[in-house]
Amino acid sequence: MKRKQFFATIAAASLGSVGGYGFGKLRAADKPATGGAAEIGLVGGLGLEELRETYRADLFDNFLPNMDRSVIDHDYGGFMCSVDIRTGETMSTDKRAWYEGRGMWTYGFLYNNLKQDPSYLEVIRNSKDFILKHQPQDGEFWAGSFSREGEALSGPGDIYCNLFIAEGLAQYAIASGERDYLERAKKITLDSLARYDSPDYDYHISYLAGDASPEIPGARVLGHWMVFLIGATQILEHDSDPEIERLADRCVEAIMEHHLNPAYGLLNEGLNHDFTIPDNEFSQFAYMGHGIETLWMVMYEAVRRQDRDLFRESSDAFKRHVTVAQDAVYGGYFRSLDHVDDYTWKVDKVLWLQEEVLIGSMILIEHMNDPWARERFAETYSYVRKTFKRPGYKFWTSGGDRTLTEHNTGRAEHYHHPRHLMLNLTAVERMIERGGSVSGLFG
Amino acid sequence: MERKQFLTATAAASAGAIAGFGLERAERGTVVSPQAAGDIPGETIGETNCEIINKKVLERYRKKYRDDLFRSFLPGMDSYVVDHTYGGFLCDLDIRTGKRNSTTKRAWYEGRGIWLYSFLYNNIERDPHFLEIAGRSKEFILKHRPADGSFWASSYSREGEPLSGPGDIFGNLYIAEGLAEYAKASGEDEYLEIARQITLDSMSSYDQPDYQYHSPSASGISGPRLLNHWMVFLFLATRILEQEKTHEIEQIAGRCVNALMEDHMNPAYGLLNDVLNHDMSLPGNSDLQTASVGLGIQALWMVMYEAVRRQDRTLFRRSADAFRRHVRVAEDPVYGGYLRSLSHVEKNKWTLDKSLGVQEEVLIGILLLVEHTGKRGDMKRFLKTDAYVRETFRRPGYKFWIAGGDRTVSRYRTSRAEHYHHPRHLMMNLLAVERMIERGGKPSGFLAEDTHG
Repeated sequence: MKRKQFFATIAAASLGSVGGYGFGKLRAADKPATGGAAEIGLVGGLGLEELRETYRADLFDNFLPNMDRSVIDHDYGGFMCSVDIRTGETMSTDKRAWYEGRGMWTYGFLYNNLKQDPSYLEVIRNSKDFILKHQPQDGEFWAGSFSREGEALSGPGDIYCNLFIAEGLAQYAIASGERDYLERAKKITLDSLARYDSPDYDYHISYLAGDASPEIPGARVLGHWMVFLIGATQILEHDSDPEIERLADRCVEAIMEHHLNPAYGLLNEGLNHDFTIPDNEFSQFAYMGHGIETLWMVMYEAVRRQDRDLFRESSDAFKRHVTVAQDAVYGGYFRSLDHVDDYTWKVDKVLWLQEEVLIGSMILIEHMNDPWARERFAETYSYVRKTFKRPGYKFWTSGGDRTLTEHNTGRAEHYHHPRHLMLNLTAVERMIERGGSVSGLFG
Repeated sequence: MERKQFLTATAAASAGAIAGFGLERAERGTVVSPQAAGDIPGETIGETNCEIINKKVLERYRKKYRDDLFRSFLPGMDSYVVDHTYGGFLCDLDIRTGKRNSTTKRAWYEGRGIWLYSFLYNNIERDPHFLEIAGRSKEFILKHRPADGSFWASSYSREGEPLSGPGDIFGNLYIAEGLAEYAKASGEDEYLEIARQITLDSMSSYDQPDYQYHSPSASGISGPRLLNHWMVFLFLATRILEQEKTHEIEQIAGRCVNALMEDHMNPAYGLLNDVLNHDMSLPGNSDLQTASVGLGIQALWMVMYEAVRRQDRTLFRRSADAFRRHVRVAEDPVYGGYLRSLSHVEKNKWTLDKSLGVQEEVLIGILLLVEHTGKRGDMKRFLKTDAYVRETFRRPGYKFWIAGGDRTVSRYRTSRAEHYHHPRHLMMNLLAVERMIERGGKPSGFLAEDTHG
């Protein structure tokens, strides 16, 4: 497809491009629902316009200027995330493949959905040029880290390096209209899938117990399906491709049919290659952070497909995970239920998980005006702003102990956080455009 | 007080005797506000979202509670637990068959049983058979009353031989609770006096700096202050004060409320700690900073009841908020129901077994909230918890409900007929439901007066 033709396709698919995430196509079919429950009213105690302004201020007045000053490498391209979030001072100039992909995605989504500022496109292009120089030839994984100038500092990283880069390139393709980057994104994705499907695929799920976590040969990993799915959904919003459709189907099936443990209704993080439950600690491991994040992505995919049953099933599972992960004593959500039946938790708090709850709740508000989601959103939004946003800091803290009394100061989080701001801002804008009514997509 | 005078006092206190538990005054004084008198569900009365509880739902629950009590629990007690020969209660049996495991009796269980049958007689059905059961247990246990105010032996043979040395404070407190209720049932005021004396003696023991209580949570603490002690003292004091006000018992009730709401309530995390030092300070060792949320839930509905007795709306609101918080924290979102103990708050470590008692304490407190606030969220929780309890702890063909088991109650105890928490739940909630039916499903008005009076 020629560049011009590709632009035309994108333009057609992007009607009402403020939507993003499967909402472009829906705009034409949107019809405000009728009845009292259709009026959304206050969200998180704020009117929709007020909430929009709060999100805009967090994004445009706080996050982006500080990214520009402290994270973006204007000389060599790419992102240097290792900064003291209190001052913005650079702590290390190392770059990571993960973060290049994520940064490209952030600026690509921003350009495509919120503001077509050429400086954003330049940020992505520079990162893209920086990281593509190092693309492995044989479908291997990118090196994990690089010097500021682009020297590889480590051996091959993990599958997420490739998947985040693919996700970023897909957004860049949409932003720039350069179709070949979408094809590259697809190829990286499908090559990664082929590798993941190999029975000897090697991935250590270390976040259960570090080195003590048992190995699962050819493991099926919830976090993998999750990133494959969000990548596939975004590609499919702009391009019809049977292979990517199949990938999305596989992800949904793996998540909803295999990882969802029927005994306790929570997603297991690791399964055997044949999708059976491992006969070890992994049979009881529910990494709730990924569970919650994954389930809103399934909800988004259901929105893209306009699949009411999938939306209902995934939103029920999302609600259950959020309810289980809640820290009823200090507020917020725990990320890791290390052993379901023994009820042992890791009790640290991470910003990203709190923000995944906010994204999922907002989806439920936008489409269903769901009372549970309204309550969850209100409580979580207040908790997050009070706990993770510190006066005078350049960036929100990415995590800390259970009460955030001790918190991380060494990393500017430039993916989950802006994703939350941007996705929820676009959702609020759609709701305002609909005159404060629910989407009506699911009746 | 003379017997006649006592009877008059009792009768006056019992006007609208169906109310029970400190609700007599609230019952008589109930003024349904103009808002509450409306028929629109979800309307607002002052600060409460008032829900008119559906009459059919209430009637269904009245029938459930009556059936559970009169068709299941009490016949089981009569056939297997009540000792018709020697008096007292033989609780050690196989709940699946009713077959007796042993004939040992316990001071705790005599006190609890006297309370059960006396409360039943006082509030639900004036069957002389119930009074006789309570009276025979009273005779059985009073023979062994220690002369020096020390604690009753903890266990006895069927015939009444002590099988152990002195037990703990709860033997005395439950016996006092039973005797106070029995005094009201029989009109024999000397038993109220004995109950009062036992209570004061027990408090005196508890106040000693070298008071000993054997519990892992109190290990190494001399003269510990304990959540479960204040809780049982408070309930006992409330029950006595409903019959007759005395300064000393008022003082005990006041101390209990203060200890629970001010001292045991940890300001850092808003949960009741199990144990404090004698001077009411928190133990320095964080391993001792446990929060048995099951006990907390029980203690807090007792504070709510005391608040109703005093007509103290501020105390009711504070204890209701704390109760709801404890219930929310105790919830097991994975398998349902409520966990008993947060054994280390900061590390979020739980004791994972499930006890019927904890679930039923939730049900008592929640229905108390529904009765006075009509809040929809409370009613939802009540319905959810009731369904869970019936599905999990009641087994077809069993003579008694299961008292507890593992987290999913797939493995459970079969060796004890629980004759206190369970019938207390049935009786108190039956009475609450009957009061609500009488009010046409509307909230009591107790909290509404604050904003409209």
